[in-house]
Amino acid sequence: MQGKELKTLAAAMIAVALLAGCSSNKSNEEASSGGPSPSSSASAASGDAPQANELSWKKDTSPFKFTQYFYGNWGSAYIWKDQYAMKLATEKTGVTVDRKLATGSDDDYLNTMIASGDLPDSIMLDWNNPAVTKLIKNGMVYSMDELIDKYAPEFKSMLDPDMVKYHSIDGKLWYLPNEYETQDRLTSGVPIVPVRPWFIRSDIYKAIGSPKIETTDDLMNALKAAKAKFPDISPVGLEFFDVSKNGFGGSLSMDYLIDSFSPHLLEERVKDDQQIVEYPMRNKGFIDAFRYLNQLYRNGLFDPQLLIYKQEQYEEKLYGAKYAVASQYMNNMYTTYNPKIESTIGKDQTYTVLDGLKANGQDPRYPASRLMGWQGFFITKQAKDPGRIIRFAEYAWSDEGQMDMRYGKEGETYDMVDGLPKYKPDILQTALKDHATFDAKYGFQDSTLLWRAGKLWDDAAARDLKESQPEQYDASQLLSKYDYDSYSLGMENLTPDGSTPEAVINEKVIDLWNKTIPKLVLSKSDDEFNNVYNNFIKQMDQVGAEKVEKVMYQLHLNDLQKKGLK
Amino acid sequence: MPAKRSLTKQIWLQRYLMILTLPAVIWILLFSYVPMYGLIIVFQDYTPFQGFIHSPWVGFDNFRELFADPTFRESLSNTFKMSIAKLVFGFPAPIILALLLNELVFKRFKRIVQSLTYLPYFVSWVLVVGFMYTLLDPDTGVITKLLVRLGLIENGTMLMGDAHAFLALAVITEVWKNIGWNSIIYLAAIAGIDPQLYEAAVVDGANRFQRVWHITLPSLKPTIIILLILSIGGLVSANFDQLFLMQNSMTQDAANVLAVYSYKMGLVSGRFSYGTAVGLFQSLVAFILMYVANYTSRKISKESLF
Repeated sequence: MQGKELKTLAAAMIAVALLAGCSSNKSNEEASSGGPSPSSSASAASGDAPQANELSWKKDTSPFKFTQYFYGNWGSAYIWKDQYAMKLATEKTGVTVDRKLATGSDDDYLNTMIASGDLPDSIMLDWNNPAVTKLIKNGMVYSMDELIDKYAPEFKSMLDPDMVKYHSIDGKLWYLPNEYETQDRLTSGVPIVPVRPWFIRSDIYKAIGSPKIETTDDLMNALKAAKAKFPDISPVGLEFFDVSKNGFGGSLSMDYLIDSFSPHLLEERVKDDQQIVEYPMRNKGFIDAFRYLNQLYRNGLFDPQLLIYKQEQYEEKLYGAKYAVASQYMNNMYTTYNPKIESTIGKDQTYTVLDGLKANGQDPRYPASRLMGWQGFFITKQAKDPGRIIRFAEYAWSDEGQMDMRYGKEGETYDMVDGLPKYKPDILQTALKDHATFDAKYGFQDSTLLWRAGKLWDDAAARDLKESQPEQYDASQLLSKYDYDSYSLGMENLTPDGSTPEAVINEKVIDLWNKTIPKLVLSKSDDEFNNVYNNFIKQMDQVGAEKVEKVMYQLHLNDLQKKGLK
Repeated sequence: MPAKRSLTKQIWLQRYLMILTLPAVIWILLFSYVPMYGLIIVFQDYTPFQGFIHSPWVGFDNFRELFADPTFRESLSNTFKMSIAKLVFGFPAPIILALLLNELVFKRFKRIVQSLTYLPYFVSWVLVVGFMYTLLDPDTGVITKLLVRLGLIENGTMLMGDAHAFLALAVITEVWKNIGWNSIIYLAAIAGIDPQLYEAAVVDGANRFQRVWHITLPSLKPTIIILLILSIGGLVSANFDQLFLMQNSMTQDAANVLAVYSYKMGLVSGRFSYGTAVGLFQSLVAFILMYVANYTSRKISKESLF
């Protein structure tokens, strides 16, 4: 009996092994059979001139599904269900994206995935994440050039040469960056507001006599007055703190203060004479922003719970208008929070934007570089059919794909008005008043995630903002006057490569700073604040921060070089 | 005593018992010994792509870095602080509960108390920590309000963000969660005590307290000692789930124990060799501690695990 069972087991195992072998053979075959067809079509294309704009993705629109990991566990709106934009993409190309998010910490998830080699077919990952080099150097991803040449040769001409130059590593393009903005971005499109603005609750502002809030001291006084009149309200609300996610400011809301206290931060960090790019924590103005937060705390104006809140906890309170002054991404405030507050609590409690704050007599300056990209679209070697995926990317990148993702079908979800697309009125209303429903029902902007710069939709976005959201447009105008072009400073992508010892040091510095922020903010006296700060600098030097600062200087030079500025 | 049997004969005689233990032995080999092969990466600069074979060897570099790392030393001292506190308060608690329960005359009440005290054992740490955040909220937390009324803390204290309160909270919740479950073993041991001993003690005029002191506790001694040795072995493995969930940026300094540190280095930063070195060091210390405890106990009380 036992022997028989063993035999059965062995037979089963052999069968499994054989099957596995078969399937991998099969996928190889598919891949290689996919190979010749584009080359034959390419030769056909060279024969027939009119074929020139015939894109490769149209050759095969049979049902196809590939998996994708999206780095950002907050991105539940991006998961493909049956939103309009997703259905439209599937209808046209046959492709369904099985997009997945990390269940816990993203870095944790990503590292485990890389270590086990168990990758999805494609990955959307911030192009400047330290793990990118790991993926490339260990040969875990295809280069775009290779796949484009093989499966979609005409795709190459659709890519912006400047973008290809900036994003190539070792002469090859390894990912397609989304949100790569072209040079004219600073002057066209929606006004850029590169900070999380701070807002004040309208009724509170009126109740304290609508004082002028132009400087950081004005803000402090306004908050004191608000606290006196509304003792139950929490005076200041900031987004969650986590240095490894949000950068050295700790919370994205801090940039508003940092750019006031240290308007020349980026320039000051570069020390050409010592050949280093300093950590911002060495900058006096940068630290003054935290000193200010500490003063808020000591005056009872800052709730220390914010230091340990999750973003959701903060947002829940914001929906309830529980803060006198709160910070939030501009568009979210005007299309999500304010409408919700208006409908559940009352229009008087909605938030109004604050002007940029002067500190020490200086105007703030907001670094408003055009974006060099947000995430890269990677195709991994695990992909069963990389050809279909690159062709899907081609579709997404094309004007048609962009319009499908952003606006849907003409006549059905949008109309052309004065040569620019515009949502049907009911869709526009949903987008403005109830963004969550808009995401769940239409999923515009969320389907392929390969946003590309284009005059048509940039102009349409600018017009729409002006027309249908005058309040947000004015707010953006108000703050964007402090913008300066930081593109030429070469301060993009300064994080040391994940496989180097400097990356380890950088991690330690991040960890130290993450622990130090609460201690600074909760200091009971100036002496304590200075002690904590000096201790931090000492520890940071001990772990070898200077080595990273040297590497950051090299990366700074690289950035300048890639942009063709040096 | 018969002449010493040959080994094969011994095995043959015990064949059924051996077959019985075989699955357990295989299980341990497969899941505890085979993975130990992976420990060689502590002497390597391991990258998953090069694998166990091709990753470069670095000797004791990882350990050298470990001992020079201030965070590691901090996490080591945190681990001991945490574990000793948990041992001092957490170890006697279930014994006391078992003794108290045993003295209850009203059986139904006893059963209800027993069930209620071991229910928390089945609540996951995720939920427990969720309760803690709610109950200890500085504005709305019920327990915070109670403590403020009692004058023990200031109004608006955020206990979950207080590094000084962290240790106490960790110990209290751990005791609360495990006390009922751990007392089951003692209750079982108490049930096994010969009732004649108690009857004799009553005849001799011993009161309740004396009966507990002179009969129940001495009878429990072997159980207590074995469990003590086992918990000393677990001293360095302060509960990861609990501490990882309870920590936040304000209490990180107090919460950083070896297990958390190993996780952060290994999985979050992707430094597998270094993280494993931390873990290996932890196991080594645990082994030494348990061995010493076992040895001491054997010498002093003749009770021992091995």
